Amino acid sequence: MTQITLKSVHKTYDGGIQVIRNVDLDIGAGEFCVFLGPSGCGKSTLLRMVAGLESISAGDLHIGGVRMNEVPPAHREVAMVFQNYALYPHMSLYENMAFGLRQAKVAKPEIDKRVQEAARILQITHLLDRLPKALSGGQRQRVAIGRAIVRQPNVFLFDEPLSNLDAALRVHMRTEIARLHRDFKRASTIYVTHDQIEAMALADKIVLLRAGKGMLDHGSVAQVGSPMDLYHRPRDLFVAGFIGSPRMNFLSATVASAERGQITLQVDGSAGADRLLVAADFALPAAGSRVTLGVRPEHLAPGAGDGSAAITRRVRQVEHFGEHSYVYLDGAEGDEDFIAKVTGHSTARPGDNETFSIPSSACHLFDSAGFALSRMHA
Amino acid sequence: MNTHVTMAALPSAIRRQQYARNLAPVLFLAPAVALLVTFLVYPLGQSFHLSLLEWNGLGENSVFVGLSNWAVLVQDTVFWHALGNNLLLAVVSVLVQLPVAMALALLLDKAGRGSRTLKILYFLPLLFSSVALGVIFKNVYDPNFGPINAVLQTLGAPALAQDWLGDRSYALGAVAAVICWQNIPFYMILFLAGLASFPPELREAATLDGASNSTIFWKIKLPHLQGTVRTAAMLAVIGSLRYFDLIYVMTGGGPEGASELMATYMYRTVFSSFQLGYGSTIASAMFLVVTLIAAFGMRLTKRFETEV
Amino acid sequence: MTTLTLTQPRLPTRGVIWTLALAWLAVTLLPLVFVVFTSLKSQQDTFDSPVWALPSHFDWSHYAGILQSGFLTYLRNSLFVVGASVTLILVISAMAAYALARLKFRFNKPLFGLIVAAMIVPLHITLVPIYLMTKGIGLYDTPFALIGPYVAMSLPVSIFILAEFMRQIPRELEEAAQLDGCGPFAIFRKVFLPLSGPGVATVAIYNGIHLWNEFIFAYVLTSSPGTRTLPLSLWDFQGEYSSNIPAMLAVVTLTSLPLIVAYAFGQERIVKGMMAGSLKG
Repeated sequence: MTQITLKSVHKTYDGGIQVIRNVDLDIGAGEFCVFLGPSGCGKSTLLRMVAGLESISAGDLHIGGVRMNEVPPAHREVAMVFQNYALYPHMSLYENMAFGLRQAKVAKPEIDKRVQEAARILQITHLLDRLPKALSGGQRQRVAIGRAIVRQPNVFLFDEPLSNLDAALRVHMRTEIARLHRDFKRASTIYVTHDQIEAMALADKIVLLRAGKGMLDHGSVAQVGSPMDLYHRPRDLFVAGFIGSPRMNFLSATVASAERGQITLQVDGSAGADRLLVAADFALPAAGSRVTLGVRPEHLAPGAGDGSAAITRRVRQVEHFGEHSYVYLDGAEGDEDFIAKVTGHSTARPGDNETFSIPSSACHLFDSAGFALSRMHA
Repeated sequence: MNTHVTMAALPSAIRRQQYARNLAPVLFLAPAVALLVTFLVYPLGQSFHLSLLEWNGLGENSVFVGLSNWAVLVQDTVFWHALGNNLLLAVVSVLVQLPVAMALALLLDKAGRGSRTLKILYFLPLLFSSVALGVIFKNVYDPNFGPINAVLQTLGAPALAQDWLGDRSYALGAVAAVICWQNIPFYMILFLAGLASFPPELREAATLDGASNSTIFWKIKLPHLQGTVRTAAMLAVIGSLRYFDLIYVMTGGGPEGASELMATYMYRTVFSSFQLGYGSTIASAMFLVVTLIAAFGMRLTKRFETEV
Repeated sequence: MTTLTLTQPRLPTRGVIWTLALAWLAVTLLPLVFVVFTSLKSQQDTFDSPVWALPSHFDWSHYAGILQSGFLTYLRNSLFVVGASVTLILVISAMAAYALARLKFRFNKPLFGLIVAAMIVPLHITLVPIYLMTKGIGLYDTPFALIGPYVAMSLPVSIFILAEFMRQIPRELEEAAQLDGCGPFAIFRKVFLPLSGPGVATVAIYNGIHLWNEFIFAYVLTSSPGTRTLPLSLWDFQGEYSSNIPAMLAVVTLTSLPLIVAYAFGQERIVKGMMAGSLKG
């Protein structure tokens, strides 16, 4: 059973541009790990470093306990599914899947057995004689996956495999990939995507990567954890804002007073009006310090509640989706719109004032540096 | 199950890959580089070396004369006249061939049906070797038996009939006409390809903006083609500096040097006058001229480059 | 609401377009028609009848005479020299193009720049040194004398064209092949070569035609009719038929025929091939 370990891994391109900084990561055997992040965060680069298609500037990569930094890709026991499928256009599907095995001088009967088996699992047996150009996107995707399966690797690598498919197909293939992972229990999977919904649906473990200044200051990895970890306990503003769609609402505020179990905040902008009480057990911030209050749209409750943590804003726009509605409220100057998710059909209208209350159990507090204040109890 | 080498064999696998990585470029490039050095680089150097000698090519009696060949060259009126002819041809190439080719390309672009047949027939001149064309037009221009003078006679203008290739004032022009006849289809096809790549949406947007057809042509289509026109101009100029076959067969550079080009002069000097040293000087000078003009041309086109 | 007025097209009408087109067609075809007709006249005919008159009878004797006096040898030599040269060009330039387009090594960019620059060099400058070299090695007046220079002078353009083609091949295919266990040689053989078909065809046609019509090097490096290539047949026959106009024009027709026949079979291919290197994709 394999384990993938990355220790203090850095990647710098010639020219001095650093794309990966200080990645420490452990991926257990059989785990489905998703590399997630905005464009430019280096998630594909990191994947390709595991594959051996990119060199590692500093740090160590171990697969199955063996140091793999210099090992050629074909000898790492990994298989990769590319974003654009990378099928050999001049070879039939059968040939495409058999190619790697032929290069490794595997015996012919064995090759045939594996290719037929993979074709059966992916339901493409009837297409084996065709050329890639005769296939649809979804079929090509399956062949690309089949090519990975026949190698019986210890690690499956997926590089944004679904981004070229239309929405319906994407959902379908997502479940297929999940099923495959369950069937090939002993192999680990690293899956790269920018779509956090895909990440939430598929991952055992998410590695959220960041780019730009944040990467240079704090390293590439923003947070590692299960999807629910990242959803419920984001470590900083970046993670909180990245996970969840629509994104979490943020309110800048000053701490009016802070005691155990009771923190009162003075929200920016509205003169005097918005005072919010957060009745939860946080690590106490100093009075007068600046914090950011975060609350997800789906957690806002319509109405004023008990009045201690209510905000009233003017409605900018309402979107109806049948099962739920999004209500867009004016933010304070400088802040973005405040979004509330309401089940069913909202009766709010643009121009009206609407009130929502913020349940303390759904609050997130972030200090002035952007890091989350920890809750004392789970 | 392990399809590849076992973990223990990894070090040799790593080494093998590094070997291949380092060796591959060398092996792949060796034949090409060897040939280019043998038949391009070395002769280039040889040519400059020979230009410093006085030698008739037979035996070992070459004399080192330093730069005196070059001094002679600078004063050599025949050479400068030949160079002038080359430049004249270059100018004619650009000023005659390109506009006619463009006009033809536009014609074909608009002609619709039958344009394919026309295109196929227009291309024929390019299939003939320069030698064949030389012979053909030597006969076409023949003062007694050639069709051109025959047509002029029948049209009742016998005074216009000339000894086209034998008359000093007409020789170069007659040769230039043949060059145009041969090369115009080439540039026509080039421009056709450029026109074909013109996105129809641009035309539609312009029409909606109220532009007339001629406005569309001059202000939108032509700028779109500027890259192609630039390429064509470069090719025409550089190509015209290298003409040899056609002129050699038609006039041999005559009469009395009227249609002499650098290449024909070089050939005569070496193979008729047996002056390998001086001939190589001419060849080397030709190389310098072409390189200078090409470099200058590149600079010039970079200056005028606008992103379309 | 104002109505939209359609501007009248101010371009020439179809009639004018077609008149101009046919005019150029006449300019293009008349010399060729002249050649074919005159070649079928007897020598007496050319003296007696006016230039534009059709032959009084079709005189095939010129053609027969030419075919019997060694014309086919020229044809055979051309086929050998051009065939061998093009084959070598394809192999060598494909390998070099692959290395320059895809392999990472230190002098990649400068080397490619030099090769592109070599396309501009007027080849006549190498004429005399190559002549001396060929004589020195003892290959003078053999078909092999031509192959070396022919291949070498075609390499810059061929490498340029093929490198462009190979650059279009997606990098992902290379990476997939790497993961499948291919080193650079295997990637070249099993991925790049098969996918470069169109590029290879283009290079073959481009060089094939240019070398088929090549004159000056063949003129200088060979001397006896037994070794000379097709374009030289014209030169050689000039001595024999100096004042026999129809005969000379028959030679012209015969030497140009192979290429025209090839053109008849594949115009699009040949046009594209000949334009290669000038047309940016």
